[in-house]
Amino acid sequence: MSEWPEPHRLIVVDDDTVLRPVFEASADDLYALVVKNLAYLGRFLDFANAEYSLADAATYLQQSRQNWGRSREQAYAIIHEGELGGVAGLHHFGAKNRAVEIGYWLSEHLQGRGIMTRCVMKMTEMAFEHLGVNQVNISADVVNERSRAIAERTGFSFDGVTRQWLVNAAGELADMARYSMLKDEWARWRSEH
Amino acid sequence: MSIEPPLPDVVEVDSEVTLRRSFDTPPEVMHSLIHRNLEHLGRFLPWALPTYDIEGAKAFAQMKREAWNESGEQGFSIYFKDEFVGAVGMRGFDSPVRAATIGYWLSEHAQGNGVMTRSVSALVRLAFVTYGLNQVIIKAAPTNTRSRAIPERLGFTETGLERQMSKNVHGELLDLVIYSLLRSEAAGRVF
Repeated sequence: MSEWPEPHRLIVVDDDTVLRPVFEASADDLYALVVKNLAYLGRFLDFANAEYSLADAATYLQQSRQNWGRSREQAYAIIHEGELGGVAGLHHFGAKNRAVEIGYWLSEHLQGRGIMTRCVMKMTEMAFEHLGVNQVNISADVVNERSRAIAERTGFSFDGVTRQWLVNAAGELADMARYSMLKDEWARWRSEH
Repeated sequence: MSIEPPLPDVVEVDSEVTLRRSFDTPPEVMHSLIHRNLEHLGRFLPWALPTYDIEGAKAFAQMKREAWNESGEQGFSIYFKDEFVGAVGMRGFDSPVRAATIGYWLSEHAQGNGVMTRSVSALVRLAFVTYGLNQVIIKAAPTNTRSRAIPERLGFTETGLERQMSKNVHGELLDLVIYSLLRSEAAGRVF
């Protein structure tokens, strides 16, 4: 199956947090947030480097608009108390095995409140119940403990490590921890939480 | 992209085993061996279907001919004592992290002679020595003990699973066990 349903354009995560297509955010806001978090994000995300520019933010938003609904990548802005706080996306749509991957980052100042955990749960719910996928994957640099904690907290299974699979900000090869949740596991998780 | 240096047309593995570009094997020969092994291959591979026919074999050969040295995915036919007995391929020459994945199948009648271990060894050598890659990966279904024995015998490390990422001819989703060998681990060892 190659056609995927249109992803939701509004996901209500909690009283203070919603997900909206990231291209609805302004390049100025995205640029400001990334720059504010440059050192924090730069540990694991290659785009967050000293050369990051307003034009990069604009290009990213434009690509996200083009990719939306085309079974390639759906990126959402995490809007917390009305302000852009991070990005969470669904990507790597596998038509054959109906698997998607969730990737995310959140501003340092919003950490520790469970915001990303709730966002990932909502996106997982949409992936299984609206897009009808068979599997949701999350992967992270093995030393990115905050990112791994999200997957572990939301009931994903740890499937192992793919060695020397990522290029980190220092340009070195890094091991990648992989997590997954299958459709029937989602149903079980859902009934228990 | 194109691969540098260009892939060899023939890999002389040893006095008994030779690898040749898969599209150099006549489609009739390819079809005959696969047809004979449909049940054997279909347990773990999605394409070994009863509908597999000579036209399919021809189309496959043509596709591989066009892709050679361009797609970063190369397939060889395995010849054991001059007889076509299976296939081994490698893809990922163009991977940004310089990791290649090796896949293979062998006719049931040719099992137990170390043919696949020797063939995979030859591709591991090619990957590290000729192409300077950083890593070789092999994936096999958990219950495919014969397939898993190859990386285990060659000193690969089991690093995890990819769940429900493969399929067999019956449409059953299969997990894949991931094995890998790093360049640093292969250094100084004989393959």
